[in-house]
Amino acid sequence: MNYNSELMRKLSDCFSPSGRENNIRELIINEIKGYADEINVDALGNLIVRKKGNGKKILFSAHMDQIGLIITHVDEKGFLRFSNVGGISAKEILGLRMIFDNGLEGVVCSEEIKDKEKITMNKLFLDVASTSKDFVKNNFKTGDMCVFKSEYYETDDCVICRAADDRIGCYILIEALKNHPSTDNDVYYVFSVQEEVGCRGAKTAAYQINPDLAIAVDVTDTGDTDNGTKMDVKLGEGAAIKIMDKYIITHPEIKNLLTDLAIEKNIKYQYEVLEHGGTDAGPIHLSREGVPSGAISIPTRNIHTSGEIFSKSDVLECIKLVIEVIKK
Amino acid sequence: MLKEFLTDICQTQFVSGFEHINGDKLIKYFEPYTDTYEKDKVGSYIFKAGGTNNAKIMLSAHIDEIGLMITKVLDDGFLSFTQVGGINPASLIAQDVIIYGRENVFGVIGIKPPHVTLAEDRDKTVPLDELYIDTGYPKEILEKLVTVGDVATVKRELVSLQDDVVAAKALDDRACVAVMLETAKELKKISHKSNIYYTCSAQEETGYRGAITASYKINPDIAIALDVTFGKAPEMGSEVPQLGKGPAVCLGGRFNPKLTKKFIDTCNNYNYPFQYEVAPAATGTDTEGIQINREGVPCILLSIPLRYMHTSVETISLKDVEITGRAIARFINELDNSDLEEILCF
Repeated sequence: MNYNSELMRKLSDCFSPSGRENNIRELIINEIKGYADEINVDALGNLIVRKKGNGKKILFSAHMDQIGLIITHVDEKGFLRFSNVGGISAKEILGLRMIFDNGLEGVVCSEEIKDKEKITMNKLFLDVASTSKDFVKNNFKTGDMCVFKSEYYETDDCVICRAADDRIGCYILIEALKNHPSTDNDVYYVFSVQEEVGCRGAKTAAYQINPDLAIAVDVTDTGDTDNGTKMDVKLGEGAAIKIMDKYIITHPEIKNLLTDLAIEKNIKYQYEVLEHGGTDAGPIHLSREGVPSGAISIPTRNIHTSGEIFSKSDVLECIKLVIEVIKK
Repeated sequence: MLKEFLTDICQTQFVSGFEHINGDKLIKYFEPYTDTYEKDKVGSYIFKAGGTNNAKIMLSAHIDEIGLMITKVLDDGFLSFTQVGGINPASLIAQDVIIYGRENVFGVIGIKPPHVTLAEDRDKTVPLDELYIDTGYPKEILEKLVTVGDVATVKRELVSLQDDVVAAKALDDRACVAVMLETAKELKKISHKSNIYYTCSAQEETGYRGAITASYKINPDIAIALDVTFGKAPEMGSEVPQLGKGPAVCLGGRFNPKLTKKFIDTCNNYNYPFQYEVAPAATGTDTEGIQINREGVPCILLSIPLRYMHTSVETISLKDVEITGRAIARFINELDNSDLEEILCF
């Protein structure tokens, strides 16, 4: 299996912040049509794709949404005030280009601030490059969302793009579905909504599906620099099997299942202990009477920025591991 | 008996998320007083003592404890680690630890000597990511024994202080698992009509996760959450409950007022001492997960006063455990002989 640049470029380019997942949902439906036994969209907007079987119910989840900004107020001078949708820090966005669903753009600017360390959201605004009040009034309104403007770029082995979190997870599930192995298991590929604002979609999808086991596929941090996060995950060292994050301690059976499969099938893997953040596996494992759950993570640098970096070979290892879980 | 149970169970590791490893140890203690048990999918152990009516009463005390998780094997046999649950790094300095790797590996956590610590740094707490476990092994051997994701605890056996005061690690919340055991013993003697679910809940320290799934499974009519609370000690506020004066009954929005009153009336009628504590908002206990499960569960929270919470010398009075266990048995007996629906009606 090769890494499919075109597909990932499309997924990354697709505008779909949390709560506005229409575009990405349509894109994925078009991509997987013909490979699924059932395609459903639930009440919250989760895309639930099923490959039927009589065996164990397995839920895989990758979230479709991306972080962004939401306009809270268009001021009298034509500047757009905003708040964050998902984990975006005011300290890290000054000067960035943002793009709206209609293709219009703006730049994150700030009022005069002496100490850049003390920058907060309410000191920032979007300048949409127009002196015409009518242009602003006609094109932007409270509640509109925008995302980072960032072009997909790749080298031989790595990719820089926006929203790798978690479009690369979506990519992995799409590829796994296209290569769905023969199995008795009843497999649900969930492309979830609103993960970035609290794993909301996964919670209701898990309730509806009521699976026997669940695996989230999402990005994780790396400890690649000398003075960065102290963790043992490295870019290019394979699929990361999650042991713990803030939302879950991986069920021992799931940890063993993933580890044994990786060893047996010669899939490059590493263990991940993430001290911050969480994934869809958090709410899924606490659904109803509890669901043995874990996560397969893609090592990614610069998460929640306009330039997230991952390794193509790690992605291929993750796909292999997902397919082995489906077969098991 | 009570002390033997706590001695055995407190030195056993039940780090959050790893309760399954030693969970079966609970069975021999609860089996004589209960009918069936279940291990649930998150790691909780639920022991059921069947009754003669349809009422379901859930007792919940968490079996898990705070611990350490290895994040990296370093050169020269040192290990980086993070916390599972909330730990003050100061409480780890100069402690022995056991790492539960491929085999049990002993280690110590040290700090720089005072001689080479700058004067202005001596009063500061060393942050967790600047502490290391020293095993003495060279890296090549250590890597074979310990993997990223293995857990560790402080090595500590229960210490008897004067009278009935004991100190140990993990008395948060094994003291309350002992309370459940006392209640189970009492109820076996005086019998009960309602179905009692003694829940040794998992993963409370990482967000009362076991209580969420266990209460969904049990779907109880009422729940009695059991946890520890801050006990009176120097430098603590004057309002905190004292050791040896009975359970602290928690008052606040999480707790059903009529059920709470019923417990207080029972204590008054049968001369069981008790104290109060107040939780206007969050309690950080299993109650958080149980109260809002499914259609809602009326809860009360009883706490054993405990000094030095989240250290390896958590200190309680065994008297409080006995009093609380018996008071709950009497409370359940009183509920059995009243109209539960009327009590729960606002």
